[in-house]
Amino acid sequence: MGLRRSGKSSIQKVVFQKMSPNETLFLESTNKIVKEDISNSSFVQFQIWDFPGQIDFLDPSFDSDMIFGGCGALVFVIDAQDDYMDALNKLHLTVTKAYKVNQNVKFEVFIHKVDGLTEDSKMETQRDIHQRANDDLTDSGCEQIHLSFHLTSIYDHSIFEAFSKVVQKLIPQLPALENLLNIMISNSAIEKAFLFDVVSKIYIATDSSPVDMQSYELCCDMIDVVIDVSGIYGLQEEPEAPAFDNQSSSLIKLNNGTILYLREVNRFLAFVCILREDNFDRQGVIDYNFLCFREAIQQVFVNSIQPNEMACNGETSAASSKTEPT
Amino acid sequence: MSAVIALCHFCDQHGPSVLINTRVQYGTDSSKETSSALTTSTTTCCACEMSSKFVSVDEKTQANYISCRMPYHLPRLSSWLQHVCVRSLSCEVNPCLFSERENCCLSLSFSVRDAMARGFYRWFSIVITMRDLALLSGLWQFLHRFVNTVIKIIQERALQVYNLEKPFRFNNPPQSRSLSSLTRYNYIFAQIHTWFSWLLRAQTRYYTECIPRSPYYHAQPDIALDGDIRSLQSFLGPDSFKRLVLGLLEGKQIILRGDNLNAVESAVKTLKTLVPEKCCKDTINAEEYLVPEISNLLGVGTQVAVPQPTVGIIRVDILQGNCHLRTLEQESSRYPTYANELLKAVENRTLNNKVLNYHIAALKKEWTNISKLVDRVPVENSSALLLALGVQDQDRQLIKFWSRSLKSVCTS
Repeated sequence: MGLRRSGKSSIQKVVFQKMSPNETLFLESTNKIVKEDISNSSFVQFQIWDFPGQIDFLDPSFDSDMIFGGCGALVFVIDAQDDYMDALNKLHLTVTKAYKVNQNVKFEVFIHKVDGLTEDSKMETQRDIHQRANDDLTDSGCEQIHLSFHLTSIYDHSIFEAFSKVVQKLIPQLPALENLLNIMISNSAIEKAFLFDVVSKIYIATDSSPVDMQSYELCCDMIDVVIDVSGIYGLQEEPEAPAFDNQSSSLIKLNNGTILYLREVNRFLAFVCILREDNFDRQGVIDYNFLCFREAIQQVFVNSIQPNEMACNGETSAASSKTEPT
Repeated sequence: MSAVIALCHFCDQHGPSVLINTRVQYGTDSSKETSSALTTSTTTCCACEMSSKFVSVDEKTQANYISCRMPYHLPRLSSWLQHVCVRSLSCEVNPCLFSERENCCLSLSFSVRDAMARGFYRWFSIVITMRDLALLSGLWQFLHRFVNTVIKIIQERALQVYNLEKPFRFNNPPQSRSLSSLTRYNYIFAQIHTWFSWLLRAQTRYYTECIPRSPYYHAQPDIALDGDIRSLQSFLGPDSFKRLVLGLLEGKQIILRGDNLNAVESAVKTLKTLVPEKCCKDTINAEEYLVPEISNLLGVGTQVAVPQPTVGIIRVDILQGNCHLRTLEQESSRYPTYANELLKAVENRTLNNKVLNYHIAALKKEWTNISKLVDRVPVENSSALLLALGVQDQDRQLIKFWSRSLKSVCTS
């Protein structure tokens, strides 16, 4: 959700429909709730609801139970290049209303279009918005509501990273996955490892070392390379077959002495890691470790016998989603 | 409300809003109300604005076809139109027919090209609302064909303008643009008014709306405004009214049961004014029968089962505009003094309603005081007092009931 022209539909198109950021200039204004089901193309299974900013959905004539009841995360988009006082008022109203209906909603605030701001003003804007939004909540006695803030832009990878963090909060198996990745990197001398959702390029888990934006971008680009190359040169009988399959794997050596290594985990997931070339002398060990890792991941999802109900209110969005072993 | 046609659009600034709506009004002078409709328009952006009013009069049928932006003086219609507008523009199905409560609506949404809009499209919809779903779906074919023609004309005009404007790049395009500038046609709203008026007129030739009524239905007379005793008397009939009042004054339980809850409610409220507040425990629209101790003046709908009349219970059935009093009480020859004076005052046409109410209040106060006084005096000393107060034998039942009620409330 968010005010009109804050960039809700653009985010959705760029992240989930692979639209190029420049094309989003020509998007029509959204006149109805657009629901996108990404359950059959992606590992993270949820719906993204894109709300038109012009309509006040807090009006009593709308069924707030239908809107917020099944929602896992509510993403509120604020245009950082514009005056954001109205947006903050709306944020406050939306958040308090949604919290009344459903206390399990995660609230994510995207401070969007920061590509037009300098590094200093980015920080200043985030601090200011953070301060004001939390003051508003404290003033109205809703301290228990927690808001997360992300600086985003569709022209770089920040939007993918922010969405990754939103989605991660909705995956109940996250600690187990992180733990597996930690074990994996420590036993294979890997520097950084991600578990990617191939279609949306959002990472659903990473090891506990801090995420450096550059390495994330490298890994994203690597997925693009793998998909594009195998789309062109891959041997496929059916033209509709996905470019990413269980044979997919890739190794890229960079000229600064690091290696990018990608392996397929399942139809939707890819394991991508960065390691130093010196530590890559025993690929067999890494491959063996990876096989163990893959098996462990299958077990994590098999053990959660009942597919967990999760919901994600995507950018402007609500969604009910299920994670299933795939 | 008969059929109303409206053109709605999705304003980039204000969201869904109604641009123009056309409705029929028979007979009355329409100029006054349209001017009032114009004064209170809330949103002002050039896309939402439609400052003109249009009235066409059909001399033969005395029908006025009125077009304005929003009929603000008709709040129910306005809110319904606003609701329909939001729904039609956010509906995933097109065309779409939906009904809610007592109204139903046919909506067709369409897009219009605009070189200055985001995405080069603007969204519009035409909605036709009526009360009768069967009528609307019967007219579907006809309406659909006509509305499509209108849509095509608007779209074609806008496309021509779009083709002219496309080669130019707009660095800072306006966020809102009126339909007349979109089509480069200043009289577009007048044109729409004539289209819609014609449609409203033509659809009545196809079918006319008639509200189905059961053959057993009798128009229910408007009865008993709150506190108006005379209208209650004329509705119940003088005899029934007399017996009902007597029963109420002497502490019988009165049950009013009827299919018209408004009538029941106003009858209860009127009767209530005849006795002191503390002597009347009234309940309106009870969900079940209540014993006399809880409620001695009970108004219920026909779905509630109530006991047959007994010595202590008087029943009034108000069914299909007729009323029927049922009681086992024998008609007494002598009425309590208060009741006599009350009935005399009601009959006395020289007293207007206001005076009558004051008169009744005074009488009520007088007998309240008598009851209180009699209650405080020991029985053996009372005969002289009663004589002095003018209390007669027929008043004893009334005084007994009143003093008991007044006392019980005081002590509790």
